[in-house]
Parts: sequence; C-alpha cells; structure tokens
Amino acid sequence: MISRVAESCFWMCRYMERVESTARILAVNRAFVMTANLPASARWRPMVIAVGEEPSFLNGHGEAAMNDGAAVQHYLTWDKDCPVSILTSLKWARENARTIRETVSQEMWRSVNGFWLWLNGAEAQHLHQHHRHRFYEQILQYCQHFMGVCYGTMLREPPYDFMRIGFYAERAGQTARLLDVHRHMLGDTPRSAPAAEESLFWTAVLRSCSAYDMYLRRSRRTLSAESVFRFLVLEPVFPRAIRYALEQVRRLLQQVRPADNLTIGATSVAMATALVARIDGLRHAPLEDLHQTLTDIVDATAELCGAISSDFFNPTASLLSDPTAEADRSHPAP
Amino acid sequence: MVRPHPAPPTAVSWPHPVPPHPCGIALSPQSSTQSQISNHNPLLFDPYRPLPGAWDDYVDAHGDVRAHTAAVAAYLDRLGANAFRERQALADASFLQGGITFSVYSDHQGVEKIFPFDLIPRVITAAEWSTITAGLDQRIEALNAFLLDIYGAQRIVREGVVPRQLVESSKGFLPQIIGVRPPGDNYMVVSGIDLIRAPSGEFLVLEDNVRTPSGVSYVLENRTMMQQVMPDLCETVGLLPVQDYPLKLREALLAHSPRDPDASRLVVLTPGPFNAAYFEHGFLARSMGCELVQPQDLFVHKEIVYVKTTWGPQRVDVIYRRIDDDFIDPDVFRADSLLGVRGLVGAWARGNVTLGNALGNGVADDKATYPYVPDMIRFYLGQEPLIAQVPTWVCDRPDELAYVLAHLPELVVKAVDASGGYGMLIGPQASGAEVAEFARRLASNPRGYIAQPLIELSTSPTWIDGAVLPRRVDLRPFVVRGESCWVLPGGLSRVALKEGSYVVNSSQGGGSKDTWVLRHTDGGTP
Repeated sequence: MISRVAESCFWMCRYMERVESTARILAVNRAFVMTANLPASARWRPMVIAVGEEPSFLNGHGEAAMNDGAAVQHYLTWDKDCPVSILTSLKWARENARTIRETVSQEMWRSVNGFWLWLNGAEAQHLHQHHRHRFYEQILQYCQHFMGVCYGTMLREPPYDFMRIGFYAERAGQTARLLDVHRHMLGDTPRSAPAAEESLFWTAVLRSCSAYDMYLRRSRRTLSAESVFRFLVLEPVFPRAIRYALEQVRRLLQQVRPADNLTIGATSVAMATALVARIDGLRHAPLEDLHQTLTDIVDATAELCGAISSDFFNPTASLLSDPTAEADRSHPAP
Repeated sequence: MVRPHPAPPTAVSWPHPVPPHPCGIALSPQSSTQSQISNHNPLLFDPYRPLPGAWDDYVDAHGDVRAHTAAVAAYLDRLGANAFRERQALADASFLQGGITFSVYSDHQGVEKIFPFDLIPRVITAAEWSTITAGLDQRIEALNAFLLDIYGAQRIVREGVVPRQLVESSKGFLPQIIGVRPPGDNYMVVSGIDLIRAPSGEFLVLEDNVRTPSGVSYVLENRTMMQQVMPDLCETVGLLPVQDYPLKLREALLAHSPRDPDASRLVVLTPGPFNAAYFEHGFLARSMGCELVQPQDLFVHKEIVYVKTTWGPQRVDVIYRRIDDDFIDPDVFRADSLLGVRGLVGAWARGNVTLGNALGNGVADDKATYPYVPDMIRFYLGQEPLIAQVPTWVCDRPDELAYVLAHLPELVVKAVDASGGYGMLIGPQASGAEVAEFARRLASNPRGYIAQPLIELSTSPTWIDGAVLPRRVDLRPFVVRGESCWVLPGGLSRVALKEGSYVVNSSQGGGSKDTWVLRHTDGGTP
C-alpha cells in the first residue's frame, strides 16, 4: 500500500486511542479525587505532568491553575493549543481519516465525523457542564464505536494492520503513562502513601482501564503497586496491558512485510521482538524502580514508532535506487 | 412502531442527535397531509409563478404543470410544506454527517461547507435526453479530433477554418507536446459540457470543460440522498440510473493502459487535502476501487512512473489526474509547482503511462475557441451540430470588439480562461463603473475576452426559506470516452439560489439539484 496512506492509517488510530486514554484518565481521576484525602497539589497536577504538558500549561495558565481541577480538565479536554487534548486529538484523527477517505470504510468515516460534530456541538457542551461523567462515557462509546466499525468493515489487508499497529502502539505508551501517574500523586515509592489512598488509587487506575474485574479474576493478591503493575504491564491476554499491546504490534509488523523480501521492516520487527522479550524478562524479576521501568517502556515504544516510520512510511534511498527490482511484485490492480 | 431488533441496552444516542432515520418517516404523503392540509401544511406549488420570459422546468407559460413533471409535482404537493421541510432537514444533516463537503480556504484554515442541495428534482424526458446524448457525443468527437489535429498535422489551421493565431495564443495550448499522441488517440476520458435552456426550451451549449471537470461526486451523492429521503417517489417515476459512473470511468481509463488492463495499476492523482474538490477525488478513488495519490507519492525513474508503497516502489500505468497541466511537471511547465511529478510528461510522451485527461486540452475549451466548435463539427465529421450554442463575439476580432464595446451594458463578457463564475461581467446587472472597468480590460487585452447576449436562463422550482420559488439553473452532463462514448444520464444541475442571480457556481452561492432522466419515452414532451 501507499506509504503515505499507511502513515495516515497509523496516525488516525493513534489519535483516536489518545482521545480514549485522555478521557479515561480524566474520568478516573475525577472519581478518585472525590473520595481520596489528598493535598491540593496532588489532585490534578499529576494529570498535566503525566501527559508531558507541564511546561506549556504553566506557561499559558500559571502555577495556581495546576491545582485547579476545572482548569486542568478544560485544558485536557477543550484546549486547541494543547497537543494532547481530546479536541486536538480528535481533530487530527478526523483529519487523517479525511485524507484517506478512499481507504477507510464509509462507516468509519461517518463514525469519526459524527464524533467530531458531536464534540463541537451543543450536546457535548451541555453534558460537559452538567453531567461530566456521562460526557466521558459518551466519548468512550464513540471511540469504541469507531474501533468496532473498523473491526467490522475493513478488509484484512495492510491498511487495517497499520491502523491496529497505531492503536496498540499508542495504547502501550498510554498505559505506561497512566501507571506512572502514581509517582506524581502518591510519591516515589508505594510505601510512602497511606494504605487507604494506595488502595483507592489502584482501584481507580484499574477502573480507568476497564481492568478491575479482570484483575480480580487473575490476581489473588492484595491491591498494591506491584500487583497492579504486574497485571497492566505483563498480562499477555488483557487487551489494555502493555505486554499484550506490544505483542500485537510485533505480530502485525510481521504481517505487513512482504513474504518474499524480509529486509523490508526488519528493523522494526527486531525492535518489537526485543521489547516484548524485555517485558517478559520482568516476570520473574523483583520490581525495583517502577518509574524507571515505565520510562524505559515509553521511550522504547517511541523508538519503535520511529523505526516503523523509517521502515514503512518513508522508504529509504536504497529502496528507490532500483525500482525495477521491486516493480513486478505489484498487486493486481485496480 | 415495532422495532425489528431490540433497542440497545444503554441510553447511547447512536448514531447522533440528528433528525430520525428516513425509515422512521411516514412514507405516504397522503396520510400525513390530509389531516393538516387545511391550516398547517400548505401545498408546495400553490402559488408558484414562473419568471416571465424564462423557460420553467415544471410550469408552462399559461401556468399549467407540464405533462412530464405532473407526477413529481403532484407528489410534492401531497407531501406538503411541513413534511418537505422535514425531509430537507434530514438531507442537510445527512450531508453534514457524511462530510460530503467542499472546502473554502482562507489563511490555510480549512472550512468545510456542504454544497446546498435542493430536494425538488429536475426532470428531463427520454426524448429530450436522446437529443442531448447524440449532440454531446458529436461535440466530444469533434473536440477530440481537433486536439489530435492541433498537436499533429494542424489541417484545420492550414485550411483556415480556425485562425492559427487564436490557437497559438491560447494559454491552454502546449507547443511542448506537438507530435505526441496520447494512448488510443484519446484526449478526453472525461468532459463536462455545460448546457442551458433557452426561453424556447431548447438546450444550448454554454461552455465546454475538457480539462478536469468536477462535480460528478455530487451527482451521485444527490441521487443516493433522493433515494433515501424520497424512496417512494424515485421508485414510481422510473429513472435512468447514475450509479455506474465510476465503473464506466474506470473502464475508459483502463481501456488505453500501456499494459494489460487486468494487471494495470490505476490511481487518482490529487493536489492534496487542501484542494476544494478533495472530497470528490477520494470519492472517485474509493468508488473505482483504486488508490488516491498525492504528487509526493509518485516518482519517475527511466521514464516509468512509480508509486511509493510500504513494499517499495511499484509501477503505475494509468493516472486519472485532477491537477492542472501547468502544475503537473515542474521540469516541463511551471518550475515553481510544488504539486507536480518530475518527469511525468516524459513518461507520458513515451507511452509508458496513460493520463486521463491527456495534456494540452485547454486549447479546446478556451472560451475563444468555443465559437469555432460548430465549424469543427462540420470540418471533422461532415455533420451539422445537433445541439446549438450561444452566439459569441470574439473580442480578438477588431470588428467584433467594436460591437462589444458599443453594446457592453446589454452583453455578458467572460474571460477566456476563467471559471467559477469569476472574471465575468453581466452587463444588464452591472453598474456604470463595472462596465467602464470591463471596457478598459477589453481594450487592453482583447484576446482575453469573449461576449455573449444575456440568455434568460431557464428556471426550476426551488425550496427557499419555506416557499417554492423559480430559480435559474444550468446542467453539466458528464461524458466518458473510452472505447466508445457514454453520457451519464442527467448530470449536475446547479441552481442560483439568490433571487435574480444568473451565477450558479458553488463558490458564489449556488446549490445543486438531482437531475432525473425519465426511463420511458412516453413521459410526455414539452
């Protein structure tokens, strides 16, 4: 498939997944701070830090706003200048979809376009003001509708695979960021916070990933940083766990390579394979520095995305040097 | 109402808070109108007064409904204003929801607008349509022969039928490609010929668009919409279908592929998502089942065109391009073009890639070439034109320029290379200052302009803020030329929504209507 189109498939779904994670993290934090006994500086500030927007938020809104729940939620939901706000992410998801309308199914386009019109309409404003919980719920439903339609309508061909690579790559990074919120909220080590807040926090984190019930089925341990971490990072069959998401990326990358030329995509496949192996290696090791481990995962995922980009989206000079060698492998067209 | 399936378990509002789905609307206009007809739901066509001096699609000079529109008019009357308003709102919401839009840009901030769509269709009889089809077929053959001649032996110039100076001074004439013959000698895979209806009801050619005519996606989307919101009417009337256009286009494009059509790669080439017609480019790619590419996706190596794919470069055989000649290859034409593909013209000239449309067509739809088309038909085909056209003064001829300058306030003046309703003077509606400005432009650049009498464009009943009023329309049928010629039954009817306006272009407040060609010959004649 056309490299530029593959890139748009990838980014469309990354942005859509980002909309979902931002909505999830905001919804769960709202529920958490309502019940937890936390100092003002630990309530909303960590959200801004976790999404990596602390400098630009401080720049635009000032120090005091960091502790202002309404300001932070507004920033991460509606701010056009915030690169990770729900509005901005959805705008780019839709713009990518619009650019490749010939590739996405019509139902997918209508799904993202309907979502966009809704978010910019009166109903979304009303829900946000008066029924905040419902507002986030509706966003998650739109996101899941989009993914469901994608699953239900796309040909099982490279465009679909690149879409899912985008979904899963974004999800791996977002789950890692979500787990790392803990450090900003309750301190560097799990033992530094009161037990009640600890347990409330981890329940909230699990709920934000729709993982609470699944966790209970898998783990008999008391809720703790370590047990939640083991579930959300290492669990191979939970769809929002990092291990699962990265394994999907690895498998899909193998699938989008041409069977008769394994030099294409070699770098990214090797990188994904190593990353999954590294995570599996954590299974039997004691967990020491959670923050460092999560930071490593976020960085390695970003590197992997860079490799996907140079392997598939920006064909290198060596590929272009002898086009005739590649030319006859074309799909029957149109 | 019984639902076929259980309602979703949650209170989710899928799809979205828009008016109810078409299926939810009572389909019998009779039942919904009779109870309300007396006070709340007035008849649609009462009163309807056509403009004096103009042909009206639905009503004749005596105010009587024409035979071939009677069924549609009666249906709409029974539907009544309230139900009509509902269906119009449904259609508008659905266009917005579907993102069936064109883009208006200022400061690179894209604003997407829906192309206003009027639910009252135009109706054309089978007999009228067969005349139009034959006339367009003939015109396209002559224009194609003209291009083949101009870039070949130039017989028509040597024999003095068309002045050499006129051809060579045309901005669309490309001396670089003299001697190149496009695959299959086919210059015009797609053309859009704008027709208007004179007060007598006769169809006239207003202008030719044989470079990259746009608008066909709206024809197809409008029909889909009509079938959704007025399914019963569409079914009873008996229409010729339009939905096979993309397949006809694909067939025509592949007909002259340099390689086996079954193994050929066809792509649609767009300038990119900032182009006003980007929706249409994607629409056509999707409905032809091929890829949509931007210039940076293509490159030329040893006179072969390749597309950059995730599996490396792959050969491209046929390009349906929606980029103008000027911009298509910076090596040959405008060097400052960022939209071009370097080496594309060379690959085309070698016959390694087929372009639809071919290069150089601008000389054929130059507005100063237009007055010579009837002579081309006689010259190349030995036939009389089957569709007439509007009398035209070519300002490049001194005697005609003098006449035009003397009669500016009664004439329509058009720039020969402009489109979109721009660069135009409508004398009878213009101010003294505008007339003076055009007199100055004509005197300094006579080759740049032509003039025509103001034709009272025909009208069609149109829903304007709750009332049905006559508004002026034109018609752009699309002609696809591959192994043979095929005319899309109907075409894009554009309507000037502003009262008294003669300008139907979407960029200037125009809307569109579905155009119905009746299947049966007994649909009545005007």
